[in-house]
Amino acid sequence: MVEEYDVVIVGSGPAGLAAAEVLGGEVSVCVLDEQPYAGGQLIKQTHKFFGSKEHFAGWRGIDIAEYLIGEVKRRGVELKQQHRVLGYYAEEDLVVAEDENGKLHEIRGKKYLFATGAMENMFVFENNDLPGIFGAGAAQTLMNMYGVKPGTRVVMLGAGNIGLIVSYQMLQAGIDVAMILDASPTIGGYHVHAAKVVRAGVPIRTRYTVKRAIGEDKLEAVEIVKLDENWSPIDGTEEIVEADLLCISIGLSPVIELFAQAGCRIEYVPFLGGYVPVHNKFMKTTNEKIFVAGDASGIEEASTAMVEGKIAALAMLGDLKNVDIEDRIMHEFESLAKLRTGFFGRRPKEGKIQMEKLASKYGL
Amino acid sequence: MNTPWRKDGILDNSVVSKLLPPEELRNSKAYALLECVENIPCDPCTRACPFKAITMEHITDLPQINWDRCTGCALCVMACPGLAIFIIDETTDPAKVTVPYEMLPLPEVGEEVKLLSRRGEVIGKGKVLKLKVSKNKTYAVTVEVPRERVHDVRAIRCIK
Repeated sequence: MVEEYDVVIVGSGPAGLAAAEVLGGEVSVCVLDEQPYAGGQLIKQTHKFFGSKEHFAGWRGIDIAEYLIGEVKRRGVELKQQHRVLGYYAEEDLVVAEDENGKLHEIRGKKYLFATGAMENMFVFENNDLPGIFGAGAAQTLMNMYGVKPGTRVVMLGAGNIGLIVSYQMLQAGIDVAMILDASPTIGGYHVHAAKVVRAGVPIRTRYTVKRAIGEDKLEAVEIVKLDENWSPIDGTEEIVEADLLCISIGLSPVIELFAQAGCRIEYVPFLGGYVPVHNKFMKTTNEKIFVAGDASGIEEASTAMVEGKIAALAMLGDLKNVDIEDRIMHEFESLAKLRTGFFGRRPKEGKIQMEKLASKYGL
Repeated sequence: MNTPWRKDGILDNSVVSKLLPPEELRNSKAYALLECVENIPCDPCTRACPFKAITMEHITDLPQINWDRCTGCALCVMACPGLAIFIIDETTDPAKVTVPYEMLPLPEVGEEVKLLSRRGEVIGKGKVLKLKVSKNKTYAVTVEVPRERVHDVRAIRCIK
């Protein structure tokens, strides 16, 4: 039996939940997510958010998740956890999801929002498969969701916001943070995140990288090396740093498999983090039934993901019901533009400008 | 934009000195010091201040502080998502610094803690004078600091 909804959302992270909050009560909505808990990355984000009041500024991610989950449930949205979406089948116009017991469910929407998020990028070096080497987000999941300390002394590779924030959370969990390395000449994340860990005694070394991991059955030490201006290792600058944990935080890639399988056009936009589904400013893909929001549409922050989720939801609402969404959607466009101003917004802003050109090339 | 802090995460004196209020004011009252130097989209400090001492026009502007209105109440210390606001009181000897704190264990009033610089170096010990907490669970811890280190101490670590 096919379950029918007005809107089917894949992914219960910030983008999916924000969209569900807008749509709930207006149309019938179902949110599918492969994880046992709703909230995506929000539930392990214990730091306070930036932004303005409307972006939950000052709230911690975990509290935002709790609030949004409460709101969407109150509006009658069906949250289905441990439902892994296997694919979208255009002929039948439905998605198939596998639940925790291996049972398959056919679920049809008049519209779909795929808010599938992102995956951590891996780094190639000798012995990178030793136990004790994690993506920073994976180590964060162990710590903040399951209460498991992933190690006692960590080397963090990557001084972007995730590397800096996870290092801080590791200090809070009682893990000794030996150092944070970044191959770039400058720290990628916000100064305020860097300052928090540095004044707690953690050195940040820019123009450094990991050369190899050392250990028999598990990580025992990390060999690091300084890089020259051409990003090449400088012989003789190698150092051995004892650590039982090495976290890789060198960037994220959009999760686009579902879009590709559904036949949405995909393009490569480096400023958005790699391959992304082509979408217009209403977050509509080249398949008019399928929308995108959040990191799947380009790597950014949870605050922008929530605004994109709202934009996609309003656009879908406008398509489904005879309601005037113009004022509300204009407000969200402004909100998004505000978040993308300044030094740190320049890359996603440029990426989205390139995307608008691609979208018009595809007639969107 | 000249951004030397992006190499190692440390604000040096040339940057910090531009953030400080005039000396006359520093000698007359406790004040909030906003070590916020990048144009990130963030404005909770402006909403946290009951005296409207902190303002910004656009969300990615740097916050502006009206020192005359600031009472050194530390509400902004607990509100700032970047943990970048400190209360400095150089009117007393020893002086006092209030820092945001989100670690365990929590210090108790009267307890001696290590004083850390922006570089994370332990530069002395000081007594905890006050502990405040906000709804969002960031503590504001006020410690005694030798007068000559009041512009260096920016974190604490419990000894226990």
